[in-house]
Amino acid sequence: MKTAVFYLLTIVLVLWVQMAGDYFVGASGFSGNTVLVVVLYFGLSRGPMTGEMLGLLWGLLIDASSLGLLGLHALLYAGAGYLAGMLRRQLDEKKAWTQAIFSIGVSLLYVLVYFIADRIFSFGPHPVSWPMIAQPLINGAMAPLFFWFMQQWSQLWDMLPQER
Amino acid sequence: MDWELYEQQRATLVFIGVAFVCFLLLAFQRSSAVQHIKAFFVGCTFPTQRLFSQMTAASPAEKNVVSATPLVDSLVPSVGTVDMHAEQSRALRVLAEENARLNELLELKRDRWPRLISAHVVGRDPQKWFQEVLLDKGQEDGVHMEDPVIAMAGSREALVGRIVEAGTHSSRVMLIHDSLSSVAAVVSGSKGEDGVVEGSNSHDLYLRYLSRDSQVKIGDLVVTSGLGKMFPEGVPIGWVQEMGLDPRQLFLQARLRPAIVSHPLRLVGILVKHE
Repeated sequence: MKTAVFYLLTIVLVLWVQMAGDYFVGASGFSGNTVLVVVLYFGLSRGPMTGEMLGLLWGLLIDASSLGLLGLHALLYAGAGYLAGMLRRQLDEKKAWTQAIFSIGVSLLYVLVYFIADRIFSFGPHPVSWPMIAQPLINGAMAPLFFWFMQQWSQLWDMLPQER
Repeated sequence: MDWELYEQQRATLVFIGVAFVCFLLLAFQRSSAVQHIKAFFVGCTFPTQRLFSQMTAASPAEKNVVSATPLVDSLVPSVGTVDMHAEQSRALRVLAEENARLNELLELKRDRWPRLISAHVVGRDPQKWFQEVLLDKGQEDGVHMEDPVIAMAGSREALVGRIVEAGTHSSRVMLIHDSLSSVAAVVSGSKGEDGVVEGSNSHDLYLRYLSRDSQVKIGDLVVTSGLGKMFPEGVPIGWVQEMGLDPRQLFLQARLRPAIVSHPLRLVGILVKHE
């Protein structure tokens, strides 16, 4: 029960942060991708299954809220969660540099696949929103903060990942 | 270690399934089944978006669009620094400005557009900022595909776009800034020259296909011409800001300053075509 409440609240909280960012600073184009960073945290700390399932759910909700193609963010976030989970044992997710560099790398991949998929599945041309290219750097900068926050949040609920 | 391997294999299988489902969703975007799924998730995120929309109802950026709260403004200095009073006065200002905007739309409904429905903008995608917005009114409120959308800009209305997707309780608007948008337009003040206003996925709009001996001047108002019956006649779109030849040097084109500033768009009116 506690686990379900923890995940439910986490989903709502992160979604709010992401939607607030989109709504209030989205006009500039220079907005971070909170959901992606948090998906990476869950993938790296809890494994691919948790990462991809949370990514799928957040992605569907973001697709619905952002008027985008339903399934696009879901696929990308699930993919990011899966990738992070598969690299779980190879990376030390507790180091801030690892968090930042890994977030930048995955974000670059994310932006690239996003624009390719948008062109394939979208109706009509949608040119690249150039400020979005800055998103990987923003994500990298905020990754240590969000990783720390999610760790504290997990600790608060006594839900830190168990080492096996 | 075995457990780790088992988890990875299981996760890989699940990811293949997830990817397959996502591809199906992407490939069948316009099918009714996917639209139903989308409507469910829109329903989940809608209250939050509505909340943000209300929170920013009186953002400073809107001050140029809405006048109208002298009474509340006069109260502000007297409340001093007391936080609670400041918050109350802010809430009052939000309500007063919301009321002023609704009144403007109501006047518009009474005077010019009897079938106007007011709607709040509740969602925008940062990656498609100049292309689409999400409204909190849908089919149940009488909204249909292709209905024109306007908003108040100062003392009169201005064209915002048209409905391209009408859900049960929400709808999607293609803004005139979208590069796929084209609006039959006429330049008022000159010899009534016709052209087509096209978006550029940016702040700028372009009035294209003006003849090379056009009399259009900088500062002329461009309004909808009503040709094609998509949009009603005489709705302001923008003012001519710059003139030049198009890339093929065949026609003149004008860069327009949009009548509606797309950033602080909060409350719009949908001109319902069908009862």
